Amino acid sequence: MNAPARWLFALGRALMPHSRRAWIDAMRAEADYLPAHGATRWASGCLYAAIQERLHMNTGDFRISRWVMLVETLGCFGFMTLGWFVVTFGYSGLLRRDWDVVTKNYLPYPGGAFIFSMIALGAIVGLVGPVGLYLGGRYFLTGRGLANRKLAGVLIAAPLVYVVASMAGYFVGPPDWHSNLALGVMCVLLPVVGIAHLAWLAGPVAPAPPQVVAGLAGS
Amino acid sequence: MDEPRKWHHGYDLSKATELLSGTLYPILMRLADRGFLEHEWLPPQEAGRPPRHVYRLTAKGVAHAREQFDISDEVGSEATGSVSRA
Repeated sequence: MNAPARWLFALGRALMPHSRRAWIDAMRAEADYLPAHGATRWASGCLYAAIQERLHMNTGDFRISRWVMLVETLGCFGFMTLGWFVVTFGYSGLLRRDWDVVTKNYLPYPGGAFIFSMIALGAIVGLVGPVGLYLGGRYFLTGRGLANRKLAGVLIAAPLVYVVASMAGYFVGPPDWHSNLALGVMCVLLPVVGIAHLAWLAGPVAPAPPQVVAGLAGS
Repeated sequence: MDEPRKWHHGYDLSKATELLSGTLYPILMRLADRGFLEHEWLPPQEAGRPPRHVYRLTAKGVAHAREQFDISDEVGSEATGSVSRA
């Protein structure tokens, strides 16, 4: 089997729900019996099947491999962590501003207090980013999800509160409030999805369906 | 349906049905979930080759397939009849 086909099967195996792993193994084994030129096409179809199974939500199986979780962690929490870092430690970040700057540059202007409050709130809520990176990294290394339901609730609620406040600012706040609302909302909502997933992963593992067990027993 | 209880490989089924792997395997999975298809791993015929997954319809699957063929035939003959009457 050629390298692209092997790569496609590796990706497909990572994406395929655990309860269907025997099937992607079957597809890969079949590829070894194909004419050489057909393996990549066959593997592409198998990757497509794995994506379909992953998206087939009624299985309720969101269990993924650690490597996929690593990508998900970076995608969900990376942007927020960068934003949090800039807002907190950046050149004009919160920690570099003293009260004189706030009273001169924010408070005298219409909506300035709202904008400063949102920056301060962003620095607090943005902590979800590095915390999520830590939790995702922990899952990658140890396979442990987020079992603490209260912490999960806080980490999910905080960004949602920020989104609501941000949208309120868009409609009733000062005109200077960022026009880039959609990007901001995405940066905040992705960590919510990531935390919810980590919390789900801490739940009990569902047993494999009997027909898959029967298939494996024959191997 | 010529040999419904014969074991088939995935690639054979793909060629016979002209379905690509991305379409064929989800169908096989659903059939197996519903108890219409059984599958098992066959040991390799040659050294250095991996075991191969094979499939065949269960008795329930054969009965269901025959039922579907009968319905299809009935619909087909009714349609032909209505066309000839028209």
